[in-house]
Amino acid sequence: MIYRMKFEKRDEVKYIGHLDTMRTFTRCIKKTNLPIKFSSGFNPRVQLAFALPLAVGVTSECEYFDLELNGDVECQEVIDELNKNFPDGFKVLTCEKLEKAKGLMSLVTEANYEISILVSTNNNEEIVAKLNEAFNKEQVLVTKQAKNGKEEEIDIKPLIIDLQVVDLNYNTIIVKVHCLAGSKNNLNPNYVVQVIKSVVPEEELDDYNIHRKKLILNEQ
Amino acid sequence: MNIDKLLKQVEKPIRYTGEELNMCKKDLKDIKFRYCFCFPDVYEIGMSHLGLRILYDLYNRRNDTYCERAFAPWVDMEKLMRENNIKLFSLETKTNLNEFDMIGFTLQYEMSYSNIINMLELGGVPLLSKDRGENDPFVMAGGPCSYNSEPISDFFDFIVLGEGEELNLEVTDEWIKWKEAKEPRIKFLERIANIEGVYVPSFYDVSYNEDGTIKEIKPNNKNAKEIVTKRIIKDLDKVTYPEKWMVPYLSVVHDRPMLEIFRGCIRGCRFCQAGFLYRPVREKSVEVLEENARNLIKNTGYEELALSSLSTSDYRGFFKLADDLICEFKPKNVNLSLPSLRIDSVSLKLLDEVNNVRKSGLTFAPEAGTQRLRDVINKGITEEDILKGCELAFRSGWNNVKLYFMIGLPTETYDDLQGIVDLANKIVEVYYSIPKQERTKGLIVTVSTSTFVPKPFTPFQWCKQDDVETINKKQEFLKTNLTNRAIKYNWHDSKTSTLEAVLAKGDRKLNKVLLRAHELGCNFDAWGEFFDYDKWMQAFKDCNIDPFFYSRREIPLEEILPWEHINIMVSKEFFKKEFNNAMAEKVTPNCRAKCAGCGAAKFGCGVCFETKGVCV
Repeated sequence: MIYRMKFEKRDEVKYIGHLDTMRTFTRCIKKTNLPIKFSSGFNPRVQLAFALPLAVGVTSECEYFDLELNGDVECQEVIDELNKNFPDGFKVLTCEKLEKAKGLMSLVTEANYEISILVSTNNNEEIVAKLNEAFNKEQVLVTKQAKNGKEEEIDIKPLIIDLQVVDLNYNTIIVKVHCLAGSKNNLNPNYVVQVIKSVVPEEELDDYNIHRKKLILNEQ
Repeated sequence: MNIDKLLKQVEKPIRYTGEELNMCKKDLKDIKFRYCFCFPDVYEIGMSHLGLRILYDLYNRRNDTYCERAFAPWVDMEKLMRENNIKLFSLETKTNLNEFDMIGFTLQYEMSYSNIINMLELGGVPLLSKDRGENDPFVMAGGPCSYNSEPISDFFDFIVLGEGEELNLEVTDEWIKWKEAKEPRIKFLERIANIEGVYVPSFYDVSYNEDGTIKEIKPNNKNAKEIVTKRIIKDLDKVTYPEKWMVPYLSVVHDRPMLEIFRGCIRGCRFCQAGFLYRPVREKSVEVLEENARNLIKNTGYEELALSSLSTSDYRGFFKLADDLICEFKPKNVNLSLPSLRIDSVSLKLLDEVNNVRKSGLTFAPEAGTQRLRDVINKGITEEDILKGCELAFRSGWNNVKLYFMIGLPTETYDDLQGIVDLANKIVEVYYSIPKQERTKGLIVTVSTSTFVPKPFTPFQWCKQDDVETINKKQEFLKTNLTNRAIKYNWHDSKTSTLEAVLAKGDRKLNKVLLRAHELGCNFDAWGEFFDYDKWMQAFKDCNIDPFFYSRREIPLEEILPWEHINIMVSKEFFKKEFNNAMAEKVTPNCRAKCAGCGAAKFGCGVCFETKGVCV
């Protein structure tokens, strides 16, 4: 039986990369009393599949992984066992049983991100206006570092479904992005940050945080 | 403080974030004593160190104590911290070093000394013990280099010698009493100077002769002992073991829990400081180890477990332990890692069993190229052992052999270096003498040479080290003569070993050199890309000190050594005898074969009493 877990990754663990997260989960799952199904072969592994990898430094409340177990276990028990053994910062939120599962990664179609920007200016309005202007252009160009070290310009506008700039006052501005995601067309939220950095002067940008709010799975 | 902003700009931010599985969390309002264990190198190295794991667990089992961790920040992080005025902080609560009650450094290798000074500075702690005031933390040190801490003694308030399981807790108790008594800073040092194993450098005066040698080392405080003796744990089954092993998110150097099977080594190799410092050999029982192993795996979910000691095969319960662990853990897909194993048919069969997939390299440490020189250093391994071991290994599918040697050993000649070449060639011959279908293709014989560094508390403590030019010539000889295509030659940087010897055998006069080297920007000297020999030589020059007075001089056996007031319970008489045996090319049997009378038996436990049936 396959169990589809939704989990959150909070601030304290946000710098743990995708591969390190997978390794940690494997170890934590081995600590549980769950009837784990191992792969066959020379190096048996815990059967674990993740959805869209989360970039380093990004928090999330909607991560997914599929775990295969031998036999039928109550969903609540799976949640409890995992949360008992996970380090702080990771928490399983929901669990769903599936008879069969298509590769999780292939199901991802869209995502929502919230990028909160901390600014040290009392002129939020001006920044909001600048941001709106930047994102409302015909093309939103960013620089992409290709694998061979070369830089190329790409337009992220076609990847953005919807984008709103919200002024929260108290020096905080939130950019809400609804975008394409998955293995075909995917917007890396760090490109949105790149645009923000090009608009907000460096000395006014105190810090920022990227949060994945929602991952939309296409479950036909 | 906002470190988040810095973390977005550095390589491997999880070096600084903590929050690992099994990290200890405590409510600070219940805590009387806050301690920070400082490892003077990066996270990945520090988290691979067993001592950190043991002490972290030891302190944190106490309800009134909270032990946290700090590591040397990598250069990118250090730069940002300095630019943003952020002090070095602990991983657990992100507290600045200067806000702890006590911070402790481990002196693992001499080349980390500059990192210690840098960490103190980054942590906002006054560098020198004499400059610390009532509100500063106490700064202590322990670990193998602390047996001669003289070169760095000005930076520490006190040093602990030997194993910490009892000692560190006694110091903690005394600190709490001192705090409650609201006494001045000096009183705490006076209180602990009475504890066996505690060395307070400032309580001793060192005077020198005109030629720079030591005239006298004398206590200047009535609480200080004439001689400070190291502490050991007599029965390792009775002390705690860090079963709640922290699991780093980052792949660290040794990314597996370690099961410490015994302390000490029976072998008595004359160059090896650890072999004397940790005497006598004391084993843990198979039952306790199996319980430890079970809990380590249960608490971590690790896929591998490593046995840890100076010489795994010398554990008397080795085969029972290994069989039991394989039986228990193989079905759970947990591998057993068996480092430092003597290679014979039985151990190869065992390796076959634990290593069912890949046959990674086998390592031999002959240390010297000829039997003559191996007798000088008392390395009890013969050419026959090695060739036989290799043949067995080749026949069971291994094709990758590593050989470790030292160059510059006392009495070494070019015949001994030729011996290294010959031995490597013979191993290649052994491989090709085996029929093709019975061996694995693609032989690699890796020959690595390090440079001999004379260390305190060894029979070679009086010996001099080769100069850089001589070492380089010897390396050149090996480079030219190890010509077989199957042989790969690696060598250590000779300048690093040169400085290591100076810092290992130095006296208090080197403190000002260390400070000067720090001012000149020396840091991460153990990392080839940062080690700057010329800066160090500049520091010696600026302080008007000849570094090679310490390392390139034959020291007369009767001279007072900088570590004369430290007692590891292996007598100076024994070291002299062993030195003479070395020069006479005479072998001394291992502790189990015949007691050599080193003095460690005075502890009343361990290998010294095995045959008499005590303490087993």
